[in-house]
Amino acid sequence: MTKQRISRYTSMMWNQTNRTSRIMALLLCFFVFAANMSAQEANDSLALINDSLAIKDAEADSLRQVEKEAEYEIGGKIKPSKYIPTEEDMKQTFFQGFTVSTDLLNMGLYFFSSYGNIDASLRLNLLNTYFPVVELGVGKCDKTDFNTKIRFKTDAPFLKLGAPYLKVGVDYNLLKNKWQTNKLLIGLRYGITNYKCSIEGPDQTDPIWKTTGPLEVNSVSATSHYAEVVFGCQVKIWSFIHMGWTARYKMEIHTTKNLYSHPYYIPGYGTTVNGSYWGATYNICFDLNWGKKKPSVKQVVENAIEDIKQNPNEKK
Amino acid sequence: MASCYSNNCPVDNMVTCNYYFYNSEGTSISYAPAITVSAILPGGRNVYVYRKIGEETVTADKRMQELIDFGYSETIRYQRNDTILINKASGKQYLEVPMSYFNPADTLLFTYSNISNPDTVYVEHDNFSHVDLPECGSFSYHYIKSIRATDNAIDHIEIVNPTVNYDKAENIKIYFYDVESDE
Repeated sequence: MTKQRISRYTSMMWNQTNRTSRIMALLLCFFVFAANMSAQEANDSLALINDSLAIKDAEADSLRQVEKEAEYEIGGKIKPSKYIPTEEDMKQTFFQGFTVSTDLLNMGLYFFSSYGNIDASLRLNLLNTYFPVVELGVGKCDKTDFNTKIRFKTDAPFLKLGAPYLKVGVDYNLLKNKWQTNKLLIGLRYGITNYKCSIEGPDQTDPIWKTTGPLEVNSVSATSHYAEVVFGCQVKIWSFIHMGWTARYKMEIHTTKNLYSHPYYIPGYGTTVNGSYWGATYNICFDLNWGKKKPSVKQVVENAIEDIKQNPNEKK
Repeated sequence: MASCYSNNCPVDNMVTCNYYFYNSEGTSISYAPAITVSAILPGGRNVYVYRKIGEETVTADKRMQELIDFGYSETIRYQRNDTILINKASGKQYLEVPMSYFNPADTLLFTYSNISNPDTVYVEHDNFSHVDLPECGSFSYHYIKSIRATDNAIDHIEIVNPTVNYDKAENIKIYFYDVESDE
């Protein structure tokens, strides 16, 4: 009965001429509706609200179920707010190409400082997550102290550029979304180098026996082993060109002992003023996909046919 | 002495050969009598000694003809150059004795306050220039090849650690006669 009254009042008032009167009519209808609502009708409306809440609960349950299924597929615990790999991500090939890079910071030191190194590194990209690295370079040192006039030189057994060194290790991409172009890396390196040290300086004078002799040590061979903990990032600049920096905590593991000196400089490691120290690199990287496994034409066609079968109405 | 401005340079950077004292039984001791250690330096000089009964003995570096004319007798003695490295150290358990930078061997004279005759210790060693860091200057390290000594107070002597540097490690053991241990 109430609904019939409301519709009658509404139609009557809606036929008024101006907008203000229509709004007034709507308000009047609302008050009439409120005033005429009986207790039973109120119960009816409560039942309707409860029904709508139940529908929402069912939707939430189904959403939870979907999340649980996603957890089961990935094998890890995830939260809806965090990154969830897409199906396309999961299908990526294991080998994603490789990166060739060089360190600009130490290259600058090599040319404009008393010591430094030039290096080139080759980094394989496995699933955009693991990056086995090989770094090959040469390091040199020719340092003369201002006060003592002692000159320390690092030579190579057979190279004029400097003493060679080799580092091997692996980096791990810390980002949750592994498939973006930028990378946040943490890794380890093991380095080995063989080099020769030379020391020159002013003559030494024995204060007691009053004798004088030259300070000259030539080509003492040494081999050093060291380790590095690497933390850094790499961002895309343009196309396949990336740039990034790394901070490296370096630890000297072992150096061949000799009576003349502990080497002042170890190629690839740096100066040995302390047993361990922090170093840094600023890298330019060329992210190359050469060697990345691509799907064959047959496989692409098969995938397309399968997609069409699964979603026949979808327009692509 | 080389200058040093780095915090990483060794503070105690005096390279010494460390002689530790033991009795004949091999127990560590503090040697009570005063010991003077002298190093015999290369080269020497003639010393002229003039004596006359009833007169004081005169020692000179050059010949004095007028003393001979006054009836003095002349004795010419060749005296080797030496220098005192440690003067009258007593009650010591060990001595830190420097080594020569460039000589292949050092001859040391151990003179005791309780024994008239000194002991001569002869140390053969190799020498190495050593640089820790360029800013810390250079040092002379040594490697002891052999050692021998006379036996006036010394029972025997042996090398423990042949590498001589500024680590203050025990390099040589000296075993003395007739010395009781401190315990």
